[in-house]
Formats: sequence, structure tokens, C-alpha cells
Amino acid sequence: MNDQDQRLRDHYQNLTMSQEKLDQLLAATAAADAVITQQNKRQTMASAVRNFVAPGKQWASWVGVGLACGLILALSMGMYNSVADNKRTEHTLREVALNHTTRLEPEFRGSSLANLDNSMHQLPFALVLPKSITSEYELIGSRYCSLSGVLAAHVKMHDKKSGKPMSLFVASNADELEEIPPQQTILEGVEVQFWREGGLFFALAQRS
Amino acid sequence: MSSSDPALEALLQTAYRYAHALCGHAEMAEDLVHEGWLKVVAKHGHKPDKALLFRVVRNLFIDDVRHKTRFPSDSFDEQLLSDATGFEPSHYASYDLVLAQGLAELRRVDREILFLWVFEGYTAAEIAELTDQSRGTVLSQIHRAKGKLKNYLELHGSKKLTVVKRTGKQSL
Repeated sequence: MNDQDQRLRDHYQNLTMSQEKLDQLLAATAAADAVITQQNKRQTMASAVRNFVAPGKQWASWVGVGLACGLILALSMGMYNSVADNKRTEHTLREVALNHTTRLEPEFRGSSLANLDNSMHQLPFALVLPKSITSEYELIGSRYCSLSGVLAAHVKMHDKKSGKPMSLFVASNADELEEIPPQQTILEGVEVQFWREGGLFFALAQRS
Repeated sequence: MSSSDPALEALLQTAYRYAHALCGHAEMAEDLVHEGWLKVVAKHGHKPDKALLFRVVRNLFIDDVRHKTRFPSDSFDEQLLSDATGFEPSHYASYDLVLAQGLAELRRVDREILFLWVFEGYTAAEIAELTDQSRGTVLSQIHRAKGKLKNYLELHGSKKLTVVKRTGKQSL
């Protein structure tokens, strides 16, 4: 440490703010402290109020979340059901077309529908022909089958006019078939028609 | 409050010395510290943070200089007079007149550097951070400032002339 540095230190060490100004500044600090303390108290109070109110808000927000989830679930279920119904319809269409094209022998033979109905006593409904079938036909026989898990009668017949074999499927209008809409579709060369009549579900299949 | 917080008083006195090194004027230094300290308290509470207070005081001083440069005034009251032109006993326990005059002859940056380096014991890196300069620039400024003050003291007499506060008068 040289003399010049020491003189500098002494110079600044001896330099002080006047006591009057220092007191003013300390008083201003105390006043500012008081204001800050008041602000902190207000903030603490506000925070406490927020915390007190928060559970209500939380409840409200949970209700909102619940409603949103419910809505999403409902939409999802609706979409799922719609997709499921579409799948069920497509599955039933394929079942009908496959049953018609496979040359499975009828379990019961006969040219009278009443005889076939008497033979198929496991059916939970009376076997009848729908009124919508207007073309002339010749009955060949019938067999048990299922459509979407529902017991059905597969009646084989012959269209006298066109000479084409026809398959008529009759089932009770059970829950599994209830959502299948009436329609007429050609699937893999087979014309399939669904409709309801007299509380029964009918399907008719023939080569297009 | 004034007698119950010696750490705060020491901090304010240190800030005052720094402000004085910047502006060379007792009353302006007080105003800088006053304004700077209240800003710090309002924003950060009154935790004794010397580095923060120094930076705030320095920024206030620079703002003030810029303002005076942009809007110069001929008013005598607003002219910045160095303490070296007259002894103000309320601010000094004793007064090294020649050294005070030598400091007054230096540029503001030289006074600031010497204060931080010699009195506060800051490193060159710390000064560089506070003054937004490179460490190399700071080192060369320290060297030049010391040389200038040394030349002044050699030219005007290296003997220490002291004014003692209790007399209330200058006795050279």
C-alpha cells in the first residue's frame, strides 16, 4: 500500500453523509417499510381469502371437468354405438349372403309353409311369409340358422319367374337386430334386402 | 430507527461515498443516494445489497448527466460545482485539500475507478461488471487514473494538508 492509496482511503473514510440527511433517509426507509408491511398484510389477507374461496372454485372446476368428461364419454359412446351398429349391419349382411351362397342342405323339406313351421318348433315365432313377396315361388325346405346371434329360419325357395334360388331369413325382432336399418344392398354379387313386418325381421337374398 | 440499524447506516454511507466519487458534489451525492435507496426499498425491500445500490446510484447519475447534457441550464443553482472549490464541514471529519483538488481534476470515470479499486477493494472483474466494460479496459483505466493523480500530487505538493472538522474553519 503506497502513500497515495492510503490518502485516498483516508479521504473517503472521512467523507460522510450529513447526520441530518442520514436521519431523513432512515425515516423515509421506515415509512417505506410501513407501506410495504401494509401491502404484505393485504397480500397475505388476499391470499388467505383466495385459499378460503379456492375449494369452492376447485369444486366448480371439478364439476366443469366432470361435465366435459361426461360429454366426451357420451359422444364417444354414441360414436361407438354408431360404429358398432354399422359393424353389426355389415356382419348380418355377410351372414345372409354367405348362408345363401353355401349350398347347405335344408333340414326340413316341404312345399308347404305350414309344414315347415310345424317342423321348426324351436322357433319362438310362427313362420310366415311376408306380404311384400309378390313373385311366384316354389318352397324347397328350411333350416335353422342364426343372424347376429339370434335364432332364425332360413327358408329356401325357387323363383319360378327367373329360375333363381332365393333365401328368406325370418327372425324375431330381437335387440341384436333392432338397430339394423331397412336397406337393400348388393354384397359380392348377392342382392340382400332387410326389412321388418308384423314384428319380425326379414332378410331376402338372391343372386343379382 | 436511525440508531438501531448500524449495517444500514454503513451501507448508506458507503453508497454516499460512491455517489460522491461519481459526481464530486456533496449535496448531489446525497440526493442520488436518497433517490436510489428509496427505489431499492420499493422494489426489493431494505436488504443490505451494496452491489444493487451501487448500480442504481450509478444509473441515476448517468441519467442525470444525460438530462443536463440534453437540457443545459444557465441557472447558477443547477451548475454542478465540485466540493473541491470549498470545504463543507458537515461532510468531512478531516479534509485532504490537495487530494480533493486532485480528484476534482480527474475525469468522472477515473474517480469512480479509483474509489472502487482502492477504497472498496473491488477486483478488476467486479468493476468491469458494474461499469459494463471489459476487465482489460478497467485495468488500463486504473493505471492511468493512478498516474494522473500521482502527477497532480507531485506537481502541487505531496504534503498532506488537512482541515480538521472541529475547528469549522480551513487552516492550511
